[in-house]
Amino acid sequence: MDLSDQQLIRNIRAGKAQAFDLIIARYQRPIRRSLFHLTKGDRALVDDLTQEVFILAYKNIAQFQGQGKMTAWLLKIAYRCFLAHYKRVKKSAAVIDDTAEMPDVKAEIPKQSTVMDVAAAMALLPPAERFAIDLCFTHGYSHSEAAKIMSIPLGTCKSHIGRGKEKLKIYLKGYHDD
Amino acid sequence: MTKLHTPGAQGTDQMEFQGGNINEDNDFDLLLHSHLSAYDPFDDPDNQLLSQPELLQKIKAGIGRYERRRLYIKSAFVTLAGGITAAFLPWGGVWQSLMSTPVTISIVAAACFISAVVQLQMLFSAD
Repeated sequence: MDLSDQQLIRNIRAGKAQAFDLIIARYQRPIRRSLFHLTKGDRALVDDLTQEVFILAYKNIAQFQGQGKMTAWLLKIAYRCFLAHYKRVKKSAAVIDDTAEMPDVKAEIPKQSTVMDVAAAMALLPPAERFAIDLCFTHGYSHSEAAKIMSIPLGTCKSHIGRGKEKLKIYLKGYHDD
Repeated sequence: MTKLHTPGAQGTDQMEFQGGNINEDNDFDLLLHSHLSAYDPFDDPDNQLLSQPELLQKIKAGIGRYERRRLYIKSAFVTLAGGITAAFLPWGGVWQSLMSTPVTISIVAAACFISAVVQLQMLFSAD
């Protein structure tokens, strides 16, 4: 029987912890995909953060009101986990610096399929821009939804997307012109 | 159904596209959407990500640790409350007969406090 998220959450709150297995099975793919972009493909870190996300979700399942999408709630947790990780390793200041100089695109983007080119170009963006673009273009969220997930003002979110897109255009142009 | 919103500072000039919203004139938006939504790192045969069962096992182990900690906390507080009750509120009936002497009360209270401390130690030492 295909239970809805609400039914699964009711079951978890009622003490049926195995209902959470279905939540993991249902949502691990989009969460891991976003974390893959966020961590620039650091697979070990993706696995660690995915575990952290779902354990935090389990602990805080009572806070999920069920009014929004479960994916959005989990993505919000994922972004917080990612930022917390970078704060822990004291890299956040450098990584989140939006004004960082653009790297040499031709040197850094591997020559693979076109799909991989876009993904590799995404890895060159600062995390906030990368995640905002991921939310809007991979998951299909609106600017305001993306801003809520990232817990940032709408204007800031739009700026991240705008700047990120401009950089991606440059990166991808540089690659294809080669 | 995918709902795609046009990025950019204006962000409102949108039209229907495949059941969603997108700026028809913006080929780059289309390119990004089609490539990013098609991209799946798990299709990469060389990827070293945990399989779903492995991931599930690790998450369940983490949840198990969390549940054990919760149990230790609850247990420690209940025991502590028992100790306080024994020390300060000797009730009537059975309790009155058990707690007839200050020595008995002290022993029960001390046992509860020690038990609570042990449980709290287990909580903090749990991996």
